[in-house]
Amino acid sequence: MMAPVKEINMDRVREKLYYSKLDSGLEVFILPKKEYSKQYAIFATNFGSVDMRFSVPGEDGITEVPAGVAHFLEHKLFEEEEGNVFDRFSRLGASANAYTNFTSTAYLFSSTTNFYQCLEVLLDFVQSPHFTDENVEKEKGIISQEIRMYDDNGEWKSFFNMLQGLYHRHPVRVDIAGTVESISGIDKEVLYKCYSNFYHPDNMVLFVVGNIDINDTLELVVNNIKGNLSEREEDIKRYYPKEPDGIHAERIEQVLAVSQPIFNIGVKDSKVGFGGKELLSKDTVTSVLLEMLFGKSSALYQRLYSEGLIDDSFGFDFVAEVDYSYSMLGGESPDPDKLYSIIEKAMAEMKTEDLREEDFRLARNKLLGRYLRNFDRLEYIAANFIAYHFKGANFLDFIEVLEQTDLEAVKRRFEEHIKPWASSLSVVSPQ
Amino acid sequence: MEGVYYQQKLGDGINLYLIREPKFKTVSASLVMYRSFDENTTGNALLPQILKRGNEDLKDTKAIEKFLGQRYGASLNVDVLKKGDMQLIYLGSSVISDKYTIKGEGVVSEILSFLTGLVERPLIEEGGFRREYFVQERDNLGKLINARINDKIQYSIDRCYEETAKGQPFGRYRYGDSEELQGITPEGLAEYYRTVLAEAPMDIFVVGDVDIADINDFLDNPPAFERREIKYPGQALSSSQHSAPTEVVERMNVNQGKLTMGFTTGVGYTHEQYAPMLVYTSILGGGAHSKLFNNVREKASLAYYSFARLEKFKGLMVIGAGIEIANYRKAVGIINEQLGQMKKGSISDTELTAAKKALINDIYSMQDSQLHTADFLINRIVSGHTMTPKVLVERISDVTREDVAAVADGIEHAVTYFLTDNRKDGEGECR
Repeated sequence: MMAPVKEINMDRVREKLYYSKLDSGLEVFILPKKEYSKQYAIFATNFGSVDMRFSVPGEDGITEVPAGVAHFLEHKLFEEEEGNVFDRFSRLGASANAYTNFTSTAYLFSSTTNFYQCLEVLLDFVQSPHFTDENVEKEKGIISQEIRMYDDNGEWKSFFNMLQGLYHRHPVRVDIAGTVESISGIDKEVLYKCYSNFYHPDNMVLFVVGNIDINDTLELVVNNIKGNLSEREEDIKRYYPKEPDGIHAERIEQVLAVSQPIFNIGVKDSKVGFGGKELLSKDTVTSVLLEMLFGKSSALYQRLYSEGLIDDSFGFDFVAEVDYSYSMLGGESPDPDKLYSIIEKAMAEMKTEDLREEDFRLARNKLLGRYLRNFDRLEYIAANFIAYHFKGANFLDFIEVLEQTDLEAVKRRFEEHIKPWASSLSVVSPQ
Repeated sequence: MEGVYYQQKLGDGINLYLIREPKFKTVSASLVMYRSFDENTTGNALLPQILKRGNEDLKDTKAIEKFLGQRYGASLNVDVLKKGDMQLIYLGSSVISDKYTIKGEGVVSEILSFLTGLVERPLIEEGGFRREYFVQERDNLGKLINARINDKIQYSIDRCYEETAKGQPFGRYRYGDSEELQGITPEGLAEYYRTVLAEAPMDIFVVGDVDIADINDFLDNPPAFERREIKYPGQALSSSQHSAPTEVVERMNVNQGKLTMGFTTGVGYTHEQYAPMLVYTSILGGGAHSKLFNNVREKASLAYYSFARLEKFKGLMVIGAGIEIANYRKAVGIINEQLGQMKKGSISDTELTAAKKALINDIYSMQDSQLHTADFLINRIVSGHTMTPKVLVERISDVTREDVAAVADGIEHAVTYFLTDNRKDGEGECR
């Protein structure tokens, strides 16, 4: 049985994307790039670190789980009754990995031979949990060392402290891996519970890119989705605490063994609660805006750079999820407080008239170039496609949305989002 | 390389290499100048940082950003690379291919002229580099040199190599040191740069969907600065002498201990046993199939990461693991057991095959990356070897267990470097 396939033409980048939805609810996307040596597949579930309170379709009540469960589950899924999954990929000459972020967990491999066998292994192991009391306990030592490793990472700590400054209650303020304490409360029962809820095919997506055949790939997927699961009628409900518009703390500081202060400045975005193309559009418009305000051609960047307050480590980004969203700046600075006060003042004093057409065009071009540059990296396309898919948007629509963006939209966004009172400073400073 | 390959001499000791790969939507251009690690190491690191600030045509960041923005947001990256005993001044740009520009206009040729223009026509005022740029970039480099402690994993690896190659050119940090930095003046550096321009070999690498006709404008006006006798900085390769193992302990305010062990192997990039050496390192610590991953992490739960890596130009190997400080002796014990197994040739068929396949997968995957393609060419140039990826793959395929055991005999422990916390009590001490 062959599932119906939809062909999506992307003229601007001269690519074709193929899409199919199976009876189990699994959505499959295939992007053939025949000239590449590599094949790259990601099998992902819409289950991330922020999903700590949720409903199970068909059950009453709300389930609560400890911080770090999604990440813990990711580690444990690699374990099998006989050895671990890495061995199976190793025998095929492929390299396998996984990652957990705030909103999703993804399992992936990269191969240059034996692609179809690798895909079979990927589908098989993600659908075959094997959790025992013993193997769950063993993992706690490994994950504790992973947490400790991040405890020594100044950039990571600065970023998470910023999220704690921005958010009062939303679980985005909790570290993805949880804490050494929170993971001590994880057992095989809670893992199985999360597994059966979130690893249902109707909550998952498969994205395959590289040197592959569309029909062979799809046929293999159809034959390897286990059992007789069909799409659930009810959706999983996720519960997040009501988050106020304002920030939680203006400034958070931590001392670590670093050479000079590391900082993050966050600006909380209160326009949240939607996904889809509207979200992609907000994301695109805000990215253009940030490029105009803080990009290398901006007056502000040049001032901060020439005063020695920022250097090449300086960067900025906009993060747009359905339930939370923020802009952030970060890098190293000898004086983050002075830097922050200049940026705060600039945000307060700047007017929409200061956003000029010429700078807008420049910023839009930069984003276009950056996007196409990243289009040469299969891993980047796959990871971003998955991330946007779970927000109901298509990452490959980016150019179209970008080309439709005008200066007026950027100005409106500026009025709406760039608020000094919604910002927070995080500093990791040397002893 | 296997792809379409074109080489042209642009001037005395200046070569252009073009690798045509139609699968890429962007074109990557890299310009390198070859130097050795000596008393000018810090100056070499400072040069590209100053060159990127502006030249006679585009005098400041704003002008450069405008130029790049108008060319679809082409990027500009500068750095210094360390290739064994050689230090390379690097300027690179990535731009969308002419085939993807809106009106089909040519941008690649302009980007090449831009890169060589930065090198050829720097902003010299009153006999020195523009003071403002010099001071800012000198200060930034100073901060960058101090900031090496921020990434504890990389810092530990670098420090371990430096201890292994103490007193040799390779023992230097690639960005130099603060003391040398303080002695540099705008005039002195400009004077030194004239020497670099006159005598350093220079190569330009272009990888992407480019035909030679696309860059005719550039080829018609190649760099035309004055050249003296071209000085090749020798070879990047040299083997390290072995002496009795030393132990180095460094203390910082860290949560996790970084255990790093350095070894001399006697087998470098051009050695006939290079392929077996690669296989050895992969079996020992080259990923999820390796002895270190399976024994230090999976069996003993001591670490989240544990790896072995080869420094191919110097014939050095490093082992790293992030561990609980109190587990120092235990971890060293398990690592030594694995080294013992390697020496005894106690290697399973599965381990041998998995390691070979992983290495081959890496080599094929490299061809999907423009930067890796250029890097492979640079490695060939600095080492004087002529192996193509295809030949390397064949040699790896032919490696036997006996070949691996043979290289194991030449591996000598040189340094144990341990980054630990500030506690002085017995627990967590490594002696």
